[in-house]
Amino acid sequence: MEIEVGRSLLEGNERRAAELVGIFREAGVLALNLISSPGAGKTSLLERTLKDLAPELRMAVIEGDLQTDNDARRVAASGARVEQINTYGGCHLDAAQIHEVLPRFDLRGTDILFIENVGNLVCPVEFHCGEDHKVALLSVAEGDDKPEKYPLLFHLASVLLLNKIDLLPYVDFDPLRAERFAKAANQGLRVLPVSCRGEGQGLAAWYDWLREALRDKRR
Amino acid sequence: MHEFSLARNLLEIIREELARGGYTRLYRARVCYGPLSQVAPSALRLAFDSLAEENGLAGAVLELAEDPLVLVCSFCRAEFTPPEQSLFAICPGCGQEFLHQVKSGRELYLDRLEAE
Repeated sequence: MEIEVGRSLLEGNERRAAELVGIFREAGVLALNLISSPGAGKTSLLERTLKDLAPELRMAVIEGDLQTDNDARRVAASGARVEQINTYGGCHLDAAQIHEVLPRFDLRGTDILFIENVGNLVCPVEFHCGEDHKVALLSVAEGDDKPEKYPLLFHLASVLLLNKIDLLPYVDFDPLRAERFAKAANQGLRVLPVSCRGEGQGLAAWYDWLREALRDKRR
Repeated sequence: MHEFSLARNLLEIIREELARGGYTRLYRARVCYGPLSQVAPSALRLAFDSLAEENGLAGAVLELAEDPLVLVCSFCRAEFTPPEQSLFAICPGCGQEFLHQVKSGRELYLDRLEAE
């Protein structure tokens, strides 16, 4: 007997993600899903952002890692509310995992919720976690052909942070090439070169992007 | 390697569909995927085989069919299927290589089952 089905393999996650979208909308929380390779600097970016914007914004973090709570401890040092999800081999966070930790946050008292995904340029892209925006990070130590090789993340992200630009003199990374392909995959992509060390070059533009995204969300 | 999660979802959908129709034996499941769905067919097959056995559906065949990628050129609005299955492909209408929209090619769905 032939049975016509036509159901997406991701429908369960999409349904739970849609519920999260409703919860975040209701609470007026801007939810951002940070996606990059391991070591691109997601945690450093968060540490710096949480510290610099603490006087003006109430921020919270969900930390996704295969193992350990190293990143959660780093981020918690800023005083922000942080919850760890260990995936133990799982290569991405999904909407069900976000649902599970959400009751531990005071969402009404939160402006921005950062979801730091498991370091991986492929799998996290497929699992919507209810976020308003995907934030892509690419460090200049990784090679400028990443947007060419992994176009889907750059196609779907709202903003691309080109991180570790303080290392540019020491690596063969052509920022224009990376930007050209990333924007080729996504006309509306904002590309922001930043460094999370020292003076925090370029971070002011990232903070402006956050403020604007929060304003848009609450408009 | 998110194929294990996908295979788990697939089995859940299959179990629902079998129960709905009162079927007990699964012969074949046909899954269609787009070239941009980021699925590795061999990994999905491996995960499916192991989970099918756990679910009492050992021997069921997973058939994987690749759907064509359909892009829409942002400049001349031409719809085309690039031979290289890539987002960065030259538009046959106007020669643009960049800024195409994806009309289809990201999907991943259970198309049909053969069961009794």
